[in-house]
This record gives sequence, structure tokens and C-alpha cells, in this order.
Amino acid sequence: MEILYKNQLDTTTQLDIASGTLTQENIFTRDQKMQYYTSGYNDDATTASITINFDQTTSIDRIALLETNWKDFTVFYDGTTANTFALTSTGSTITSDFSNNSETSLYMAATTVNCTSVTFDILSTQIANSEKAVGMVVLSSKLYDFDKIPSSKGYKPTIVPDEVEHKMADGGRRIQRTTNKFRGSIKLKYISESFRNNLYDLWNDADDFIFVGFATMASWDEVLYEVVWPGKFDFFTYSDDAVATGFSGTINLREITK
Amino acid sequence: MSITLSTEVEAVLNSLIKAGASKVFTRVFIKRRLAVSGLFEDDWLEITRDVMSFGKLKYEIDAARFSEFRLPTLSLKVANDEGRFNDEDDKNSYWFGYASRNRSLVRVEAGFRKDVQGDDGIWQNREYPHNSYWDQSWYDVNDWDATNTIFVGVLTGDITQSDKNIVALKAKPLTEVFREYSARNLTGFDTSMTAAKFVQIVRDHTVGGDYIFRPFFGDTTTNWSFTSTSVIYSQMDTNTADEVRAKNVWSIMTKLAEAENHVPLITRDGQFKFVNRDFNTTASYEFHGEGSNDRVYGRTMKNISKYGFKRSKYYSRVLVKYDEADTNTSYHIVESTMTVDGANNAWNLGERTFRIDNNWIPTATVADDIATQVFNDYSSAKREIEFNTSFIPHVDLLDVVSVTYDTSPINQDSLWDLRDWASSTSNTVNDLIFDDFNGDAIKLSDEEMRVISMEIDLDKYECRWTLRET
Repeated sequence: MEILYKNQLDTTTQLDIASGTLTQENIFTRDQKMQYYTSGYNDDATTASITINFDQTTSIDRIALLETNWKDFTVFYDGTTANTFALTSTGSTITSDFSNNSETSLYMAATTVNCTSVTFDILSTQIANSEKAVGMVVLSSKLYDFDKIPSSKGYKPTIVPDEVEHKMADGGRRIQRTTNKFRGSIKLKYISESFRNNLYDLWNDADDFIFVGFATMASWDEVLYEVVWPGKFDFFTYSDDAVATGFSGTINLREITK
Repeated sequence: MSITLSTEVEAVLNSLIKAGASKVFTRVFIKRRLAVSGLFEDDWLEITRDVMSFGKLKYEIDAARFSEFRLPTLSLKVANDEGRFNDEDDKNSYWFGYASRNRSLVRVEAGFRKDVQGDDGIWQNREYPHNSYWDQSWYDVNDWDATNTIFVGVLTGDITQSDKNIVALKAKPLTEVFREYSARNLTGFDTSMTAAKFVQIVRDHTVGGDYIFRPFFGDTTTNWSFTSTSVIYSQMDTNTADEVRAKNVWSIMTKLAEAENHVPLITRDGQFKFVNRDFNTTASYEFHGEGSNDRVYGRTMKNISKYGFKRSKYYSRVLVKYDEADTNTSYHIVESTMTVDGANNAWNLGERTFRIDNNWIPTATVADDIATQVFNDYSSAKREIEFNTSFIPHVDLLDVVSVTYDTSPINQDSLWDLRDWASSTSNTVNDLIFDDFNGDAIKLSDEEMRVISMEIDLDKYECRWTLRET
């Protein structure tokens, strides 16, 4: 489990894309069924590029792709194709140069790079000769790692719909849904004082951040959400009668509006 | 008034409306005015992410005055934690570097979203009523193009902040720009002033070379529709005439509309129209409630709050006073003849008079047309119904619709056994079939009615309708 800084891709003005401007807003949305896709690049022999530019030199060590159909693609920084990221997470490749990706979602942990842009060069798709599509791109860096993960009872990731439920004349129901949002609670026990202090800083900053559950390069459950921590901070509570046992409390998470 | 839909779009929209579960959306946009030129920026800025509550939109006709549309005022509640709705002097404000927040344009879109995964695995997000997937209006202006826009207005009133970081924004319909402008400041009055000409001088009115009204209507003449009229109103020959100098532009428009038997209105997507009262004659949508099983429209009615004969809208006499002098020739009267008869409305319901005073009505013939039209609509005992439905975005004021509610007894021609003990091969009169009464004592079978009021609750995705018998 990790806490990341907020997504460094935040506005469409950062994006440099050759096609598909009508759907470029979708690259920021967490909705799995809203994808950015190219237009006129449905040929595995034609490379489509997406470049994300930063206003200033920015540290990147986490890259997440959700709901993508990319098969052969390369991720590099500062406009030089040789500048691939060195991946520290276990997967089909040790650099961010994929030749036969079959995952629809990937979470890449990489050695930190300070750069001013990140580019995705996409050559082929998992279903041959399709437009290049991706649901969401996250470029970030790790803020905190969890030094303890919660028990299964203490980890409650939930997707909560924003919907209205109509009670019809015959007693039947009709639902009309606007969005789904992530809501989570993580109950931790016996955490160290240093981790408690990190959590306190996180809570006290009152800023949004990214929560990542159990991230992997393959078969990832896609639990990555831009969230805030509303409500109280209760990690000053001792876990037991001995100070050395550490601290207990609950992290509350609510997905932000986009 | 109704939105024109292609057959394909209408079929999908109806399937989404009746679906057990569907996706809906509401979006809000603003258009600010530039600080130097005072003109509107080119693009709409979406503020949906800041909206806490969308409120309701209520459209009515004939509420205050015959043929007068009552357009909604939108009350938005927005989060102001980041100061985006502070005044234009605050650098965090959306309006920083722009002109005042007041009179900014506000646009609301609402509809259904359908996600379709293609053979290539890619999700396409299609929206209805306006299908942005295959019929994109920005390069295609086919007449079946629909719109998701359900309201365009101007920010108005006091915009105040509080320590709750919540700001209430009020947007009035575009008629407000006419209401706020004095008619005496228009130019172009002459001795040949017709109603159409008046609308035209409003449309083309400039001050210092800049258009005053057009910027609120897309800055194009395309969004102004009016039919030509021939009657000359001598009362409007100059801007200092008695009938002009103390009136605002909107009050003159409504008076002219009444005199011409027209309606002045702003469509839901922000177009101005000064046209004949457009009566649709065929039902464009079907409402079905308890006891009615329709495979095309589904059952959308939730509950009926009022149904019955509207005595308060019954008039046995329509009196039109179309000349200023209080003499017999200034009046035109259409009325029912009262007889002592069990079938005579005037006897049964009492005599009631509907009065229209408008000395701009040019002739007895026009007065007769107006009186007859009102009389035809209000002299018979007509019923009205008020009910709530789930979200229906495309039915509009004055649309003719049909209503079906509690169709008991059960249709005996059903292909299927209606009870476990019915014959397995056919339904006959010998089958034990009970009259299956549902709901209450209301029974409507494909009744044609006209929409005279609709209210869309954008937070609950619920619509409230008032229909009147055709």
C-alpha cells in the first residue's frame, strides 16, 4: 500500500496529442468506461504519441495506466526515446519498453527520474489494428509507503454510486446513476511513531493525494484513487498498555471530484 | 416546441428512460465577459465540479396570462472553498481578469449516457437526447440534431459569500435581458412599426456599434426566429410614444404577442422565438403508469398528485377589449348560451368571464380569433393531471402526449396464461381471471393531453408534469 503525491497530469494544456482531442478529457477521469482514444491510428504500423509536459522539473517514480489496450509501447522522459524508466516492480520487462503487453491496467514503480516531460509512444494494440485507447494515466511519485498493512477486517475499499432510486407506482425500483466514487477506510494497529507522524502530516496538509492498494504489474485490482482524508485523526491512540506497541487509528478516504 | 429526434435516437432514449438502471448526467457551464471589450468569451467553461446542488427548472405556459411562457429561474448552490466564485478582483476567482459575475451566461445540460464497447474493445460514450457519437453537431446541422441543453440564462441578483464557503447563484432566463432594458432606448421606431419589425429592431439594436442583445443569443441572427406580421402599430411610431417610453422591451413583446396571437419565448437551448402558438396534433410521447405495460415507453409514472376537471380554468365567456374607448364596439365577446339543461356547462358550472384587455389588437377579426381560441380551450369541461415521473429529458411544453393508467381488467387476449390455474392452451372466458385493479380509482386509457407545465428536479432526476386535455 502506498500514498502518492497528486497526479502530475492535471490539465489538458499539459497534453500534446496528435489526435483524439474530443476524448482527451477522459484521460483524467477514473470512470473505466470513459477512455481517451486516438483517431485515425487504428494501424499497428502507425505510432501514436502522447506527451505530458510539466511546468518545471518534476520527480516521477510511479506510472499507472488504467483500461488500456496498448500492446507494444514505450514510456520515456524528456523527449528522448532512450530515456526509458528503470522499473523496480516485477513484470514482463525491467524497463518501460513493452513489446507484448496483455494487461489492461498496469502500475509501474520505477527508479526516480527528474524530468520535464513524459512521452508514451504506442505502436500496436492488444486487438490488432485498433485505435490506441487508455482510460486514465497517472504520473506521480511516492509520498509514503505503509510500514504495516491492515488486516482484511480493517481494510474496507468500497465503490459508492451517486444515484437516485425512483420508487415507481407498482413498488418497483428504477435507478439513475451519475457517477461511482471510491470510499475507503483503513484501520491500522501497532504502527510506528514515524509512520504515525507521516500520517499526521498527510492528514494535516488537507490536500488531495493518491491512495494505491495492492499495486502490481499484472492482474492489478486497479485500486488507485485520488482521495482526501475527511474527519478526525485518531492515530495518537496507543495500541496497548505499553508505549512501544505503537499506535492505532483509522484512515478515512473519499474520492475527490474531478 | 418539441425536440426533433431521429428514429434511432428516440428508440435508444426511450429504452434508457424505461431501463431499470441507467446513467444520467447534468453539466453546468458559464460564459464570462471580457474585461476590456465586455463581450462574451468564445468557449463555455464547465463548473460542474463545483456544483453542490443543481436545483429545479420549471417551465409553464398560460400560468399568469394566456399564451405567456413562464420560464425557470435556476438556483445553483456551489462550493467556494477555493474562492472560484469570489468577485472578479480575487485572483482565485473564475472571473479574475474578466468583467462582473452578473450577467454571465449559464448553460445547463442534462440527459442520459450510454456506454457501448465496440469490437475493438474501446468504450464509446454516447449521450442522449443529443447523440454525440455519430451525429456531431459541430460539423453536421441535420434537422434531427437534438440538444442536451435544457436551460440558458444569465447570472443575476446578489452573489454573496458566507463562512460556509457555499455560494448561491441565481440564473434568470434570457428574457431578463429584455426586461432590464427600457424600450425608449431602442432606435428604429417609425410609422410602419409591425410586431416583426419591433423584434427585428431589438435583435439589431446597437449602442456605439455594439449589439446589445445578440451576444446573449450566441451572437448570431440564427438564434432569432420570428414570422412576418403586417399590422402596423401606430402607438409605437416613436420611442417617446405613450405606449413605449415607460415600458421595458419584454413588456412590449408580450403585449404585441397577445395582439398578434403569437408567443414570445426562449427555447431551452437559448433561442429567441416570436411565433404562432405551435400546436402539435399528434402524440409525441406516451406516459404509462400503474396497470399499463408498454414495451416501448415503459412505466415512468411514479405517483399522481392531482387529477380531475379544472373548474378554475373553466370560462363560459371570453371578453376581449381591443379598443381604448369604453364603448360597445371596443369589446368582442364569445360566450356560451346558458340554458337550464343538465348538459349545459354554463348552467352546471356557472358563468365565468375571462377578460383580455389589449388596445393594440388591431381589428375585430383578430380580437375574434383570440377570443375564439381562448374560448375553445377553456369553455369545455377539461381535465388536468399532475404527476411525477422518473427523468424524461426531451418532452417539452405544448407537446401532445398520451397517458395510460390502470387499464384493468386484464387483456384477455394475452398470449400467456394469466394465472397458474388458467388453461395451458388458450385464454377463454372460462378462465378464472380477476379484474386486476391497481392504483386508485383513476383510469386513463391512451388519453391525449398537452403539456402545460413541467418541472425537472436536477438533483433527484425527477420530473413533475401538468397536462391538460386536448
